Amino acid sequence: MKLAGLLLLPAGWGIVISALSLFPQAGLRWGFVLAGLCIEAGGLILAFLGARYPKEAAE
Amino acid sequence: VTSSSAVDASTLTVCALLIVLVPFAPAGLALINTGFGRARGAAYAMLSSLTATAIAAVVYCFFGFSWEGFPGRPANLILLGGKPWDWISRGPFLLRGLAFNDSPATLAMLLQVFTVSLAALIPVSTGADRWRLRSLGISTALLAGWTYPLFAHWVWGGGWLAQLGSNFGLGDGFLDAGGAGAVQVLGGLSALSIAWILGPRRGKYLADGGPAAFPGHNIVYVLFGCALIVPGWIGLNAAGSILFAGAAPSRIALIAVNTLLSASASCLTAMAGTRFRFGKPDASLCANGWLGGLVASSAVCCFVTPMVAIFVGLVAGALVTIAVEVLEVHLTVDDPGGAISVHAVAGIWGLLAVGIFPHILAIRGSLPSGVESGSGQLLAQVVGVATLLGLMLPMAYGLNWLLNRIDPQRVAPRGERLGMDMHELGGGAYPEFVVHRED
Repeated sequence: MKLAGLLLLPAGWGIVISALSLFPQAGLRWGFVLAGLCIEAGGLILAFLGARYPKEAAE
Repeated sequence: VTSSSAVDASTLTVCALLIVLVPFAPAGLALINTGFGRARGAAYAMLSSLTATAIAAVVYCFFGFSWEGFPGRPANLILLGGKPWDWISRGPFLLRGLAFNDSPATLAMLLQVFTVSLAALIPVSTGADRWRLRSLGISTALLAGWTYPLFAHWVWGGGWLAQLGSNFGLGDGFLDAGGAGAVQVLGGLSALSIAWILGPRRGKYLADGGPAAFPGHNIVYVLFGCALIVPGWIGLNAAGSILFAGAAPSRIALIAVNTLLSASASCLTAMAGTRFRFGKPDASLCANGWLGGLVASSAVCCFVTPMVAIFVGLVAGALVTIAVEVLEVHLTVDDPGGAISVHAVAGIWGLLAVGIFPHILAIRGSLPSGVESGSGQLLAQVVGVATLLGLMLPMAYGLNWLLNRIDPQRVAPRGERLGMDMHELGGGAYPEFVVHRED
């Protein structure tokens, strides 16, 4: 899960960067940048959940 | 970096004097890191801070500055969508090609010898009481030699984030006057990757999944560090604003006041919040609030009015106290000094605040002609934050993961039981401080 999250982070960034080059119109650009940010947020949540310390390892 | 023709000699002299103040910032942070750690690792904490500072300075001068460069120096460009994307400088290693005079490029290099050390100290706080010295040194070298210069080039060296304004009409491009992104958020995200790789300290999480309280061994160090750090931060924000945002020296008073107001508001928010939640103010969270306000101020210091700086500090204080609890309790990230919340979370808020308050450019008196209003500036800031989270975090994690595969970064269980002072250094910070069996 952590790996999936860490892979989603650059995927979201790729969408953000692509939006700058592909969409000169402010509305579309904002939309795709926010979509990329949402994917990054999803990746961050997955990475955090995947990195949670397992209860069975606790002392 | 502002071109030398645009800055007069007196401005550069003032800037040099401000840079002399900056070492107070890493000194204060080292003291804070030590206070938040355990007594049996206090000497090691201070030595690891010194080691990180030394390695960061040497590696940055060897490789880092050549990859970071400054505007006007040859750089590698990628053509994408018909626009040039300046992604890395092509300067010679070992500071060759840099005239050691009073040019802005020389002062930018001098300032960043200290700021890269500051960035390197942030993960040291997170890895307290379990990060081996050798691994800490190599990880610091990776940060100072690659991750930091790469992002700093994009922001301060005339790279693609700085050119978002000229290439895509996004305000003035990504603005980061005092290093909230290039120093603080980058250091905070490196700290997060270290926390993930090292895992929590032994006994931090109990069988029911809840965290055990490991209070810092000396809160007086922490609070004194908070006071010590202020002149360094004012020097950093003011020198950075002059060199990287083109602020006039007449703005130094505003920058200093904004820095202090943001820290004060943030600290008071943390104090009120913890008083409300726990019945008494929590000293360590108040210290985190103070630092969070300083971090947020690094982004906005030269662009906003004092009232806006107070608002930025209020939000930073609330965010930091919430983030410390969420990370420790719900996400099981063991961060003894709250460095991830302080540097990454408050830094991201500060960077976004630069775009949220669009009148800032008017205050600066340099709203570029033909450039749209604040929404373009906000988008530039959002792209910068997305780059930090989407590219720099995986990069920092990947490099540290690779390092961990080659040479495990966490100290052996015996070392953790014994304490880092005895295990790594063979002697403690407080040799006369003995706990007797009957105690």
